[in-house]
Amino acid sequence: MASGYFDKYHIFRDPIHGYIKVYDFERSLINTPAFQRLRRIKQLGLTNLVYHGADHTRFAHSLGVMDLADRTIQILLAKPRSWQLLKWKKTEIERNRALIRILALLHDVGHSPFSHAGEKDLFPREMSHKKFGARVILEDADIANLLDGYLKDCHGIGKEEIADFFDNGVVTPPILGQIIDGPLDVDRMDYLLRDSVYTGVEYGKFDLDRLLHTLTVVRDPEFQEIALGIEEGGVYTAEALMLARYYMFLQVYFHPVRRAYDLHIRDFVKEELDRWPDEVSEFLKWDDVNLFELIRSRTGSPTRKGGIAKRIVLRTHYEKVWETRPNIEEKYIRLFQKYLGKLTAEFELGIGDDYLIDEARDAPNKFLKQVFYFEVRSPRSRYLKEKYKDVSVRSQIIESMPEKLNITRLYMPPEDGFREIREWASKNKGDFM
Amino acid sequence: MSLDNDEKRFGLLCYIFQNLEKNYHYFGRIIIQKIVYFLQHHYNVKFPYAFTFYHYGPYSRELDSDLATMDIYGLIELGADPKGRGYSVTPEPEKMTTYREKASDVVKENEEKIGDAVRKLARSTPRLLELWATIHWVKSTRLPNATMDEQQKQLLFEKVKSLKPSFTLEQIASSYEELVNRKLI
Repeated sequence: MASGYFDKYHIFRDPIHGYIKVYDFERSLINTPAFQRLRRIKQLGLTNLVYHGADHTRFAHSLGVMDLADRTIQILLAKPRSWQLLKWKKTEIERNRALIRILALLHDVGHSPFSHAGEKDLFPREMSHKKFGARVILEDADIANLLDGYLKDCHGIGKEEIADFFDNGVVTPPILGQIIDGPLDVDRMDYLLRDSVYTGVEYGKFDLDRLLHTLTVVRDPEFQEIALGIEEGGVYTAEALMLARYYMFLQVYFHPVRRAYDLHIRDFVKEELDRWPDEVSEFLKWDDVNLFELIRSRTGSPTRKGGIAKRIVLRTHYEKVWETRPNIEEKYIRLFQKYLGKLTAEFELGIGDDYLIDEARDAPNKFLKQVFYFEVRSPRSRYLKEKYKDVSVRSQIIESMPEKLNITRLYMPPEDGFREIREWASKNKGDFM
Repeated sequence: MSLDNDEKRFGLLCYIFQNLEKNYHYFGRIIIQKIVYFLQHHYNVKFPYAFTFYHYGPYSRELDSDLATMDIYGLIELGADPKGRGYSVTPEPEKMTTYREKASDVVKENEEKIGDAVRKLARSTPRLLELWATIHWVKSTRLPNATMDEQQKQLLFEKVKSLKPSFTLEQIASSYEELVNRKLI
């Protein structure tokens, strides 16, 4: 391995970002079995059953995020004001660059097969792919030894520091954390563009170069904390980022068929395994490939899981019968529940075998309105005058965007035996659709 | 009693917000995040939120998500502060009544704790609450079994300083003593 972290690099060609530099140490991490596993975990789970091009992987996404994280740091450091606020010494610059690249590279290493399918139900309580990633970093011998070996010698960064960010959100300096996980983070920048290209859904596109080049370091006006912000000229691209995320949620991530398969995967794993293994080495044995092979092997079984397996393999998923409007008011959700009660009583339906409910919940602009500042240059002053405000004060689009997306759906089997029930449901739905 | 149920959890949050309104003319997400943090991690109110460290200290996305849902349901109104200071939260008393009634059992179970927390924490600025919550979080996660002799106190202050560099060690030390005096740590 090269003696200096940035002495030697290799080029990986990426369909989204072009040339991605991968330094020697990073290539060692990439070559570990735990990281190579991400080649076998699709970024969008079974979304390829809807958008057939969506076969891209967490592996490619992780490299993309690393590249964007490094570009962000270099852009910030090239701006004199940001430099003054950050106050990093030369040794700190190299150390922080290495740290953010590693954080970005490993940010998805704890993902379960088929990405977010059933994540909430299949991980232990209070665990998530991020927190599990922290455990992988600490307990997978290959990764842990690399981090505690070369990286510690080179820059004094050990596995505990890397894991602490994914487990607790702590990283020094804190601005590195905002670049990876914040309102303007590089994770969403990469996945929106990547998912847009591979699904063919154009709404996920935005002006990445403009957005990156308008990032800046600011001090929030009340607390004087250093934060990642955006120049006034970048407000419109920030709007575009937010809209891109909103549309991609509606069109792709919350697509009714994709969500149906998420439910089927969840139910299969629950029947077969109960939940993902708690032990890291056992967990890392699972990826999309061997889970799908297991599903296929169960299609002949006369059990409940055999039935679920057949649906996944033969693409006979449950179909959407009812769906609430996004951000529906509470009274309509109660109406949905009331009608559901009538339906299940009328036909004596059981959840799972006869119907499924999906509650798709997310915040499209997750605190974008809150931790996000911009800089205004006063045209009347001879001197640079800076003013920081929450971007929603500046942008009506951001201000008027909904805080979150809530869509509730009822699904039922597509078979003829359920036709009468589906027809009843279609005629007897409330004003929540 | 667990607060996994949405109705009960929202009902309890409504009770907390109505208490806060008596003490604050304006409060926003930061104050809510920090007070709920103390209620969960110091007073052991059984909220199911996972707090990690974020820009303004301990932060829960699930709590933020609940606030957004409560806004959709009309229980509160989330509004941007025109001075650009963040987000204000305005309770809607009429709509809250139903939820509070449904959560009367959990309110009763926790009202003393909430009263104590609001008394001790309300009227503190978001900035101060941010520091207090950070000190509590660092102590709980990094030095959970420490006896807090002078050496360990210094270690605590330095750890807090590394996360919140805009505060001086003197401010951190003084805030720690304040938390001890108020029996919040």
